[in-house]
Amino acid sequence: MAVDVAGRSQGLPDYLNHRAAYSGILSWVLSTDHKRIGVMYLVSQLTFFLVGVALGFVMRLEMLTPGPTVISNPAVYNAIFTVHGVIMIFLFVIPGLIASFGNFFLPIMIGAKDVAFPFLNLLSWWLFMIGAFVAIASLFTGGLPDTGWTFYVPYSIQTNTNTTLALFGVFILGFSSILTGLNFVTTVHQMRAPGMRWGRMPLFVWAIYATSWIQILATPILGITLLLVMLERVLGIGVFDPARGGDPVLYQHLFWIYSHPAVYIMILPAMGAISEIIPTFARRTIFGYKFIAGSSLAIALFGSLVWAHHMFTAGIGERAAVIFSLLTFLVAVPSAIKVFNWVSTLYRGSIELRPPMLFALAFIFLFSIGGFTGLMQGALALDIHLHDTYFVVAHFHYVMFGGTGFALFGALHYWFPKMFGRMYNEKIATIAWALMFVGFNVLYFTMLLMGWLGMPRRYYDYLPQYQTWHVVATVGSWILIAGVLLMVGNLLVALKRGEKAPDNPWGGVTPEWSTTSPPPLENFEKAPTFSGGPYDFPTEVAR
Amino acid sequence: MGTAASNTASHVDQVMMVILGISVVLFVGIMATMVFFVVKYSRKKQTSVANISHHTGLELVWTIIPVIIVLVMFWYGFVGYRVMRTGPDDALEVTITGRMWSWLYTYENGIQATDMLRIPAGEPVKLVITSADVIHSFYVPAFRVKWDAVPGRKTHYFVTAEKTGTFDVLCAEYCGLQHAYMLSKVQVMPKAEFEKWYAANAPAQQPGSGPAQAPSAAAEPAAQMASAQPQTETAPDQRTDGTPPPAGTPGSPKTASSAPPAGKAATPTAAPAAPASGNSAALVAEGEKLMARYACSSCHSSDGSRIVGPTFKGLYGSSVTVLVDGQERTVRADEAYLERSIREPNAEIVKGYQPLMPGQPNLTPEEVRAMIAYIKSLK
Ligand code: HEC
Ligand SMILES: [Cu+2]
Repeated sequence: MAVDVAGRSQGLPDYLNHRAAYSGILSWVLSTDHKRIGVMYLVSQLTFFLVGVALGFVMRLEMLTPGPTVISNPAVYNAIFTVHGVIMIFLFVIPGLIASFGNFFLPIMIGAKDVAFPFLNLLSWWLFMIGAFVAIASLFTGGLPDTGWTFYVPYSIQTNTNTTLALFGVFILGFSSILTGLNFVTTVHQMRAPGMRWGRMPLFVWAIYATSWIQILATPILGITLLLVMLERVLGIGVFDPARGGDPVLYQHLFWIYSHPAVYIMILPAMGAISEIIPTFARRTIFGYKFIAGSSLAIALFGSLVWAHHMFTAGIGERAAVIFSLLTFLVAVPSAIKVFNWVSTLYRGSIELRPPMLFALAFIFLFSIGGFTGLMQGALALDIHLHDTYFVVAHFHYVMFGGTGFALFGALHYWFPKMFGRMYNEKIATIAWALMFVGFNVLYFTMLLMGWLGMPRRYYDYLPQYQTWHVVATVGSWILIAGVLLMVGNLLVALKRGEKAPDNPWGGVTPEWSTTSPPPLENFEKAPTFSGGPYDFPTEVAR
Repeated sequence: MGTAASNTASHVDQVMMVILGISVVLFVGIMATMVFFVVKYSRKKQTSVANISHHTGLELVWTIIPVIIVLVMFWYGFVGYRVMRTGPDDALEVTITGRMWSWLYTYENGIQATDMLRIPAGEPVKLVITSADVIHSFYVPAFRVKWDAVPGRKTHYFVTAEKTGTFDVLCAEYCGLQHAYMLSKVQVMPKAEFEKWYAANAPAQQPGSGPAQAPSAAAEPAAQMASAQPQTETAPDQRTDGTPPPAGTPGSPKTASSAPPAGKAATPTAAPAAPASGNSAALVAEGEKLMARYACSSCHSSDGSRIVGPTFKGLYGSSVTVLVDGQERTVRADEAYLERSIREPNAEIVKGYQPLMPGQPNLTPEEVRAMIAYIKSLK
């Protein structure tokens, strides 16, 4: 893409050094600059991620032997997997790449100065933090919530633990998500710079755009559902509890009408980032731009119609089960199209295996396994066996961690120099990547096998025949965590002591690479104009 | 691969093989292509690139072929699902009730059991599944089937067991504290043996249940009988194989799980049919085991220490100060009080404690009797 930003590099202070109305921490938490907000999301999400990893570590340790290993009370284990789930889902992967990198790069990639409603954007971050705080406070006030992140009724209504507060936290988080979606849709429609036509938008922007619509349309359903559960708990209104004349399966429908599309809220921006990284490191134009962009929209649309595949064993009608199974299979096709286009983008490119690219290739590998195991569970008869076992747990970790997680780390390594103006040690990043990739597969592939053998999820204890597999999985978790810590440490060191990064370290051509690293407050020193396609690379690569 | 012991299991395994086979071929193909490109077009060898932007023909190919492939997969899954959902009207029916945290099996002739579901081999059986409290899921990995136990609903599936033997039953839907201990067994018996057991263990008052009677013939009246007089349940295990309740009963959840096959396999839930006074030691042991199964012991100690609830030590016969609708009152802890406390714990709250105890309205009278006997034994 040709970007005309005449007059840049006149030495405007970058957004990190810009003198704002406040200084210190206030210059962050009261800033309406989309870049600072993006960084704040990133930092809070990664912090929550590490807390979730710590909880996951303890869970795996407990699974090392049958009987008590490190936790003596099942109630504590139940609370740990609940909190692990709530943190990872609602505080890490749902905000995912959209809140962090979306905030930072969406305006830059369309040549805007900021999002459409900067103040609303700051409010979203505050709601996010307040929701997170309330959800975490539920741990320390009253009993540990122990319902699992799905809050299934009637258990979630009957349990004496502090579930109402946890639900309220998630309820607040929902508003943060809706407002962000609203903001981004408006931004894409209204704020594109001259020459930034729809067909020239980078694919990351397309992914964010599709995701924002899901956030706006699906999240309110979750909010209302959780509100009903809270009312039922507090006021005793019978909506879901059969003891009060309610219907527990209705809850599951409402919950998954949101939570299945939420899977696409998590994965679409991740796919968007992969579509940025691959052409840059292959130094050639993306293959099938229209199909990749279109498949994002198709996923957003069809993904909203498959929720009941979480309920095949819950006694839904046979006809419903058959229809939902069929739709589930069809929604796999647009994802497959993306994978084919990414692989084709490598054809006759000039490929450089640097850390962001390694993460992107690992993404394709892990996400494909997630996809194929998803097909297995979409098949009615097979899901009856696999549902609620470790197979499901492993499947969604392949999608959400191997998919969204690895894409997020790839995006982090890709855009880190742009965001912070510094380079990290690429050798250490590569070692961390390798550890994570190996550890991930040792952990979760083993869980796939265990699930096939009938190991149910959310078990504090297990029958002795599963022990060998549990030991292997736990060892895998150690390798994986070693990789995560090495990666985080490497980036933290780079933040302080990394070499100064050039404006365009990877030779990318999307708009963010034509401004300075880090960008100035208003992103470009002069309003840019765009011409040509988003991935027009020269045919010769200088070595 | 785990044992496949039923028609459903062979179907599920077949679906798995089909989808797995296709998936492995595609996955390996995609990954091999990816690695090949990465090596072949490495920057070290290639500096000129071809900016091929799209190829509509290819896009169509890799849209249409996957659609066909997933439709094939869908079809196999659908066919296997039909197998679970269809069966003859006169199939033997067992109602399975999930409750925190055990399974109750009720046969058409009134037999009730919790630790072992017995079914005949080679014959379709209809399992009707429901719950008395929260959602559970009745899961038999050897059948490759789980079905949720949803309160207020009845779900069902059909299964024809093909291998005799004893297989694990697990709860697959998270249901609270003791979810991981909601275990049981299913025993697939040769048909003749099953029929003998079925007839011999029909509740005693059943007039027409001669030993040779076919299960379905005795079904109607027996079922009515059972619902009218649930007290008549017997202890099938004791009659057939003479196993006494195990002496080393699980005192804590932990021991329960580390030796489930031995400890859990053949123990009846219902108290022995003989009058309680006849074998009180067995009843006490039974009560202790029930306390572990229903997780009572996670809140109540037997040694005088306070956990979440008051200790059971010395409780029987003592006088307890309780709050009834906020009014303080002193009661003697006799059998009636204990039964009330177990069934409706929140009607009378022991002073100084929170109303945290889950109600147990679904315990059978035998179970409550055994529990009370156990509490009485803790002097
Ligand atoms: C979650 C913790 C918990 C569990 C599990 C639990 N209880 Fe309780 N139980 C309590 C508490 C708290 C009290 C005191 C408040 C009250 O009376 O409700 C209590 C009171 C009682 C009392 C009256 C004790 C007295 O001192 O008067 C009996 C009897 C009793 N429980 C039996 C049982 C049995 C039998 C079970 C298993 C089926 C059980 N409890 C499970 C918490 C629990
Ligand atoms: Cu259960």
